[in-house]
Amino acid sequence: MFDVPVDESLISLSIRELQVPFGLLKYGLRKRYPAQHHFTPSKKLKQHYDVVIIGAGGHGSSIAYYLAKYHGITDVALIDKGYLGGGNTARNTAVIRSNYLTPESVSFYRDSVRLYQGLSNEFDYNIMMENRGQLTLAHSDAAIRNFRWRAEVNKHLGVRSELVDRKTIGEIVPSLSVTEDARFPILAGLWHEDGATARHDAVVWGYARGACQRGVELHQLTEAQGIDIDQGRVVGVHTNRGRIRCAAVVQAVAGASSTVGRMAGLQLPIHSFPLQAMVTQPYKPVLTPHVSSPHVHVYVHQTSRGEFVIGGGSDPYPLYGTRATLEQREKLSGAVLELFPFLAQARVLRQWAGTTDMTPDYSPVMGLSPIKNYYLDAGWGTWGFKATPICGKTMAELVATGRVPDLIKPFELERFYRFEQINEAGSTAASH
Amino acid sequence: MKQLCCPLNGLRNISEFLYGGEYHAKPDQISCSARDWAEHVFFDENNAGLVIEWWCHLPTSYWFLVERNTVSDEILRSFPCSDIYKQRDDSPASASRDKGGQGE
Amino acid sequence: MDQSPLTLVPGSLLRRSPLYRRHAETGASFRQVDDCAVPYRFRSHQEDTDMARQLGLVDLCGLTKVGYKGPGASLWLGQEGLLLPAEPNLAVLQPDGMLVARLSLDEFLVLRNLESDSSLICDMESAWSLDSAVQTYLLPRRDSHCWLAVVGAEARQMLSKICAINLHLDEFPNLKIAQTIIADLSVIIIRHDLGLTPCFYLLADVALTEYLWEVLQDAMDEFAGATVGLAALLTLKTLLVESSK
Repeated sequence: MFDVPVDESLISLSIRELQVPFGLLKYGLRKRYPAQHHFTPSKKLKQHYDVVIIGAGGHGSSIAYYLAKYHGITDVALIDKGYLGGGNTARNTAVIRSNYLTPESVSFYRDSVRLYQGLSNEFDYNIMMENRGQLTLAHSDAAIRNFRWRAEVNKHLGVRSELVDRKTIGEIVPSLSVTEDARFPILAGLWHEDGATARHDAVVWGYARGACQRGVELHQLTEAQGIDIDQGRVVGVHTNRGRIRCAAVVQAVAGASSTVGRMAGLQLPIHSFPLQAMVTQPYKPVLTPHVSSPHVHVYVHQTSRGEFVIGGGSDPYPLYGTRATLEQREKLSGAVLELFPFLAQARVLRQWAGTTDMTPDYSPVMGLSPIKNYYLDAGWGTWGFKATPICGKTMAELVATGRVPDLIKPFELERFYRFEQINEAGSTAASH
Repeated sequence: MKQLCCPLNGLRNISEFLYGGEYHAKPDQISCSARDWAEHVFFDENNAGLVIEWWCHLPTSYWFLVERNTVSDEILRSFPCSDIYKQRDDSPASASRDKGGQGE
Repeated sequence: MDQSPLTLVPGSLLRRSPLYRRHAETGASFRQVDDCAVPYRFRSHQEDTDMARQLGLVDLCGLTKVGYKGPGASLWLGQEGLLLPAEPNLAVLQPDGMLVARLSLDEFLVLRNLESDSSLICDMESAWSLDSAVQTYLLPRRDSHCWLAVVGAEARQMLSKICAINLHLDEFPNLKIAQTIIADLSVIIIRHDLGLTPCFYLLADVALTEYLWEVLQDAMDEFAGATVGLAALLTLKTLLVESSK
């Protein structure tokens, strides 16, 4: 035989790799393949719960999960008028990043990105987290100044952001057009290495599964129709399946925040706008990072499936509808071709819209409400998905302890009465 | 493309218009509390259903009011703001209110 | 206005259109109209006129225009002896060829006639004062808006590519106004036919003149239209007078 020195590490690696085929073989030889139920089947709705969470999207499921996991609160009804994760969780473009401008936001989203990093392990369930990095483009001197500012704030708070020149942009995203001849030539970029994407459905399924395993009840097709308040304190929720008495209520209904808030007698600083996006047919991988341009109003990344996900600005006026328009398809197409001319030959596979609850300062409204034990998780505009883990964790802490965690204190509804807005209008991807 | 009827210019593509927010009756800025003012500035009904809103026809900078259904996106009517603001508030009372903060 | 072609020297104090250099490069000859150098002819007179009958683009930026606005505007203009449109988005031709366009209930735009002189507009401007008992405010429009004309049998077809307004004669008769958006720009369109030749004036923010010009040229290409001078418009107008005799 050959006298070749054997690399020990290679042998151990191949044995480890062999374990997978053995497991697969065993699975293949089974007689039955029982389906794994992620969630408890819908039971009879009880008359009383400690906590009712309205909205079984990413946020609602996340709150339920952390309530059960960290605070031992499992007498929880997670109710939704539709299906688990069937609202705006299913409609967003799954971008995760923390390169905001204000220290309040940067700290908040930074902790969210860190939680995301460990989520697949924590769930023992693959959320398909992809650390692709995120590049925001500057086409004007004003944008460069803003990027420099953001990069400094980010670095100070432990978020990886740096201002990069055109040459570096060309190295990070070779497929991007950095020509001088463009209508809006790219001058610089804000490179955010922590930027990522994840499978949005998997995130909500992971949270809901973990919550249900710990005793939380998921009730789909259960619509909140009224909120019972007694002497300034929430005492129950009316649903299409009957009345529930409860000690606390959390509303986590992106796209219907004002409507549900009104049931509790609350008016919110929110306007609901449609936000449209579209994807192309799958193509071979050519684009790794997520690229966004606030100037030409477009953002784009290529999914692991090969589809280019293309999103942009909100619709020009409020609407509680999720229709897609030809105008927006035209606008998005024009904008994305400014950055990636080779997409001219790409075919659009589908186009859709979600509802974004926009606030005056482009920051969420979360925490206490004027009603005792009624908690707000609202105003998530175009930045809700990336906040799913940290929002759930901090809101669960608030519900369980009654104390507002420092991380979310700045986002309370009361800030508007103090005229202390947290302005992130310039840091949202492309929605203004 | 969706169209909107401007009281001045007639039926036009919606892209000629700018949405200008919900119509709210303005509180008296001198006598109202800071909380009332904050609500006027930041808070909205955001009703799922019939709303009255400000719109502007951009080429003419003409502001008017529109009644619209925010669920069906159906536009019910548009009308000049003079239908609500019957006259300019040039009364002496209004003038003295405007000077209110300056002292004598 | 029948004078010899103008040679502009660098030190000339005459007004120039924002498009002056383009015209100079394409071999335009200029004439002085009021205090402005206006592109008068781009080819032979016959060629320019033939082109204008089909599809021509004319730069009228230098010509005098002025606006009046305010609750008393119609009263004041009436006192100045002008015929006023009964409602917004209509224009009225004055006996001397001047055009009075009503942009809203309280706002008017007065455009100089293409031939003769502009003394009436100038007289009006100097007659106006802020102290006037009627509430009227002068809007100096000469440098705020560019003034272009799209003329010729193909004008409507060509504009329909870039403008959402139905400009068919049945819907958009002579002296009708549309204030609309063309190529993302706010534009005032005034139909002012030269006899049987359709003609549309386009007025937009002067800072956008070059962009609008390029958009219009691009749209004209498929109809083989071209830039023509003021002389062609004047000739088309005279043809009207002759044919109506």
